Amino acid sequence: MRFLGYKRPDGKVGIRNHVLILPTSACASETCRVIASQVSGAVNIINQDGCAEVKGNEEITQAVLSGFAANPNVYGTILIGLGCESNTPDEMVRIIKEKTNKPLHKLVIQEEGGTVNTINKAVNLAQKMVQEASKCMREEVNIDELILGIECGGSDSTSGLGANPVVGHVSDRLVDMGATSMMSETTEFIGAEHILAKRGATPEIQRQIIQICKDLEDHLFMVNQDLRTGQPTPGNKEGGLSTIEEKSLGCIYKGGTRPVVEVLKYAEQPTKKGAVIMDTPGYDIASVSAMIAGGCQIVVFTTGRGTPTGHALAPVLKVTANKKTFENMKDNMDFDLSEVIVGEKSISYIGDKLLDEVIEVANGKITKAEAFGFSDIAINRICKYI
Amino acid sequence: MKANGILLDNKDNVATTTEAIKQGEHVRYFIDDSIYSISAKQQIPSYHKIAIKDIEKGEIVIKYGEIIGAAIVAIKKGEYVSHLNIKSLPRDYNKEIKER
Repeated sequence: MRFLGYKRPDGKVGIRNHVLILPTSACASETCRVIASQVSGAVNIINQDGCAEVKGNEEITQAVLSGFAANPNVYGTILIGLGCESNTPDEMVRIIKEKTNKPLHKLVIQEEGGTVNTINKAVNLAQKMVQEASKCMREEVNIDELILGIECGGSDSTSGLGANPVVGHVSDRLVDMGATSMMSETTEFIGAEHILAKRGATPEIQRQIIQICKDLEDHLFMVNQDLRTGQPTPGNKEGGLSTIEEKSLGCIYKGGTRPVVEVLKYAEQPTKKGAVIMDTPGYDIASVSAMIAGGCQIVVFTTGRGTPTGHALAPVLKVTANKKTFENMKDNMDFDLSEVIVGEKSISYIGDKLLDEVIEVANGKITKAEAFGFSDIAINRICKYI
Repeated sequence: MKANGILLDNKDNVATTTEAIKQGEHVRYFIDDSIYSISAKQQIPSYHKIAIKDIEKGEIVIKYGEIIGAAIVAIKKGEYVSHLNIKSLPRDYNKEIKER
C-alpha cells in the first residue's frame, strides 16, 4: 500500500505542508497569531507555557514545541521568542536542530524592539517560506512512512463495541504492512493494564506498560485522586459495563492486537516501527498534541458523543459508531462507523473502509476540523506554575 | 438478515446486544462474515451481555478475547450477563510489576 506525501530533508514524509509560526512562550503567542493571520499557508499554535515553570514542566514544553517543528507535516518554522523567558529561544533552536534540519528562523521581540517590528520581519520571512513550500510536490511513498495516532474521547456504549474495535482493525492492518500505530491515554489503561501488558514484545516493555499506569496512579494519589475505586460507575453499569476490565478493554481495543514494540514518554518520537504506546493523560487535547509532537502525521479519533477537536498541524479524523451522533454533529464528524452497531456490516469490513479513508486523508482530502481551521492544543503539566 | 449483537473476538463466551432484546427473541452476531444466532432466555437491555455458552460458577468470562471477570453463579447459554452475576478477578499490582 502507498500514499502521496512530501519528502522532507530529514528523511520523514509529511501529508500536509504547513509553515509553522511557533512561540517559545506565552508572551510570544499573540504575536505568532498575528503573523500567521497575515500569511496564507502559515499556522500558529497557542502556547500558554514556556516560562514560570519548574524544570520538569519546561522539559515537557520543549519536547512538545520542538516536536511540532519536527513533525513531517511542517515544511519549516519561524520561532518567535520574547527574550527573557526561561525556555530561551536559543535553547529552543538547539533542541529543534537536534530533531530536524528543516528551515528554521528565530526572532526575539525584545531584540527587534516590540511586536510590530517582529511581525514585520516575520511576515516577510513567512511569505518567502510559504512560496518555497509551495514548490514541494507530493511523491508516492510506502505506507511504512505513516505514523497513525489513535485517540478516543466523549465515549459512550458504542465506542467500546463499535468504533474502537474498528480502529483496532485499522491499526493491525497498518502494522502488518510495516507502518506505525500509536496509542496513548494511560488513564484509560488502568483496570486492564495487565492485559495490555501482555501485548508487550519483551518482558521489559511489559514491565514499562504496568509501570506507567502505577506512576500515574501514585502521582494522582498525591492530590487525593483515586482512579480505580468506584469503577465502573453506576452510569457505566447502566450502560452495560460490568467490570473495570471490561470498561478499560473497550478503550484499549482501539490500539489493535499486534505486539507493542516501544513505550514512549510524553511527546517522545518513536525509534521503531510497529505498534507503540505513548504515556499521556486521558485528556484528549493534551494527548493528541503529544502524539503529533511525537511525529504522527494523522490522528483517528473515536467518539460516541461527538467532539469538534482538531489540530493546526495534522488532520484529526473524527469517527463514531453512534448513528445519532454522526447525524447530529455532521459538521464535526468525518466518518460513520454505525453500520457495525446496527448489524449491517462486520468490524473488519468497516475497518477496511476506514483504512481507505485514512489513505485518502493522507493523500490530501481535508477533514471537517481542518476545513474550520480548528486548532486545539494543551501541554501536560506536572505541577503548579511558579 | 441484520445482526443485533456483536461478538468482539472468536474466543469470547459472551456477546453484546446492540438493541433491547425481549425474552425469547434471537440475538444475531457476526463471526467473520457469517451470522450466528442465539435465543435470549431473559430480557436483555441494549448494549448489555448475553452468554453464548454455558458458564459455570467460578468460570472465567471472556470478552475482547480477554478475561473480564468470573461468574459468581452458574450462567446458562442465552442468559443475561451483568455486574450482578460476574465479578473482577482479584489482582496484585506489585506482583505484576515484579513478575516481568
